[in-house]
Amino acid sequence: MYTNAQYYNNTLTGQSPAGIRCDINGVTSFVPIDPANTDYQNIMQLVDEGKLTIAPAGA
Amino acid sequence: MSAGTLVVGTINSGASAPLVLESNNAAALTLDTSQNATFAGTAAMSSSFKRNRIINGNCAVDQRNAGAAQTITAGAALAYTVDRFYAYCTGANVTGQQVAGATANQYRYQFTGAASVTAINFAQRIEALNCADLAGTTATFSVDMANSLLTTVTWTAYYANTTNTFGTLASPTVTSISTGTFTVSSTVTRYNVQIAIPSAATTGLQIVLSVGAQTSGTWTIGNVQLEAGSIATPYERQIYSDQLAQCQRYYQAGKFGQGGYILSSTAMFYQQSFAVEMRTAPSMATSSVSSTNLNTLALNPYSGQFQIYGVGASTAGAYYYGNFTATAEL
Repeated sequence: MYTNAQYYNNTLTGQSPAGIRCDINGVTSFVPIDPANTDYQNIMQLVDEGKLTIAPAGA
Repeated sequence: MSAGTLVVGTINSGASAPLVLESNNAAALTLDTSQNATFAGTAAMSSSFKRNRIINGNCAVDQRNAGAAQTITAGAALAYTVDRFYAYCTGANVTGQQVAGATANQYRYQFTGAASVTAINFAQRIEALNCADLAGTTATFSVDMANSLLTTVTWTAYYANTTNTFGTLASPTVTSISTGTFTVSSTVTRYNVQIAIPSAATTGLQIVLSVGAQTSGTWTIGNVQLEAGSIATPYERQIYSDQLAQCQRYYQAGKFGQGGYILSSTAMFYQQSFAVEMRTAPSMATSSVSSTNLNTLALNPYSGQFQIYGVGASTAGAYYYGNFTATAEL
């Protein structure tokens, strides 16, 4: 469900990271760094379980 | 005095005295000397007082599918259907679709069964802000349903273990409140049940309707309502635009765009407001995107607005536009 996850930055606002770019069911999506966002919750759970890795920004 | 029917044109309490109607030897309705009415129990009204905690209960708002059929994939993550409601199934894929209802019930949601289906679930999660007050009380759940194949629909109520966090289908983080069944038929009928909401359930509620082996036929659902008290009142109708705005707190779709003249390797962004403040910063996806002379394209979502971001590939004109969806579901 969640694949190709990578952090992205916003050099204008200085947010680093500004969010996570990933494919959700094959659709490229931008997920905010927000514990109340259910996609962010799910991504972090997968990371904790070792099932998903988030690439650093710009990698 | 024996029980009977009193036919009278006017009942007058006299000067400076309230009028009290009793039932079971207790005051049920009191009209005070200023003509204010006080009910001891619940007043079952046919009008709207924002009592329904279910959003889009009549299935009228369908931003994702616009009335088109959708496939619910067996064993997959939950799939959102008409706004605020989600579905999941096991055994085999099923089709779901917003359909026309009869007369005053303009829309309903309908599943069409398929061979090898073992279960279908239709549910809504209710944000804590909209139901925390029900904790420690009795609530009433009502729904219109029909099933052309099966006669049993199971309902189950849950509350989130932590505020607005229900987990995933694979790893739910909820506590069951209670469960029961409705015996249904092929004729759309309204059903209701009273649910004792525990005092701990201040964290958000989840109501799930389930059927078993819907291997053929249809399961039709509409006018879903959850309200305070032990009386099932008529379905609360809302102005469509109000209902759409309620749905847009959790999901909305639209168009975005920015353009201008940019210097090479410099960033630019345009900030665009959502139609409605969202529950939290949403996840955003894009489609039909067109861009030129920009790299590192991104959308940075916040609950009230989002930024359209890009970095100039060269010193020249640049643009980035397309369609977006924003999801802040529970």
